[in-house]
Amino acid sequence: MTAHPTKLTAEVEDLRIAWLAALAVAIHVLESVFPSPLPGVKPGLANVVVVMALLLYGWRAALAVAVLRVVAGSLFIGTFLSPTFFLSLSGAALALVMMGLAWRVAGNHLTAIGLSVVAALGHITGQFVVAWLLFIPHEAIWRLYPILMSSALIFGLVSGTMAHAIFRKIKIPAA
Amino acid sequence: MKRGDWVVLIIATLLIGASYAHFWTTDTTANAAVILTDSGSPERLTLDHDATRRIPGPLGDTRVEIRDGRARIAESPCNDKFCVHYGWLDHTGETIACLPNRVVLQLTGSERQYDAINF
Repeated sequence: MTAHPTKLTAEVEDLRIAWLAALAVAIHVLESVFPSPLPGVKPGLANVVVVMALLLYGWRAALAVAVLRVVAGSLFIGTFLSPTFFLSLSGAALALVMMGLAWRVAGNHLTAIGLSVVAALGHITGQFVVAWLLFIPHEAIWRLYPILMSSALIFGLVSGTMAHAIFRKIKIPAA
Repeated sequence: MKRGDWVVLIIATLLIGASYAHFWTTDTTANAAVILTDSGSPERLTLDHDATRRIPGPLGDTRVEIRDGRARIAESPCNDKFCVHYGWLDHTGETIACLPNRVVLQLTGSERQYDAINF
């Protein structure tokens, strides 16, 4: 008798995450095509999807979507394992941690707008720490930090407003 | 927007304000110039006193000038003279490298020595 191979079945939750991740990757790839006035200034609209995942399905779902977005997105763009990839990963990691903390501490008092701003600022900060430690060990890069934080605040507000509007429109499927 | 969102916004604004205050007001005025060549050991000159140094290189002498707390390459035997046209340096970390004549002029601050310079 031959042993039956373990069958992998996709749960509903897996499918949700796959859908959300696919959406995030698509936005990420589209966004990478647009030129930026300054390295690091980016709308970061893919984070709308991560915020939605957090609000609808919890932190673990948001984590899965964010990691898939970074890994799959970099495979599409061709930056996998390049410095850009590690910056992207570190930004996404700190954004998720900070967003998770904010959600835990004050979830009832927060909407997608506040979460997006927290994520955007976390994203920039995570990138700067890694850029400074690994790639440009020179204090001068920190002079860019306030500028990029300002742009992150603005874009965080924009994507947060979008996420908030979407969140109010959709019926929340049972998690 | 809920109350927490406003708290986030206020904290974010304060944080960004503080980061401008912190990272944009640090004194980066240099107080010494270091001259590197591929032959001799590095020469360190304080910016407190005006001075001129002739640094021998493969093409001839590069003249480094220090005046009023600033430093520049005043004269160079190289073809392109990028180093001369760069002008005066007065901040820590600023660097002029004249590759043809193998001379690097670099400014340093009080205690600080960088191991990498990126522009």
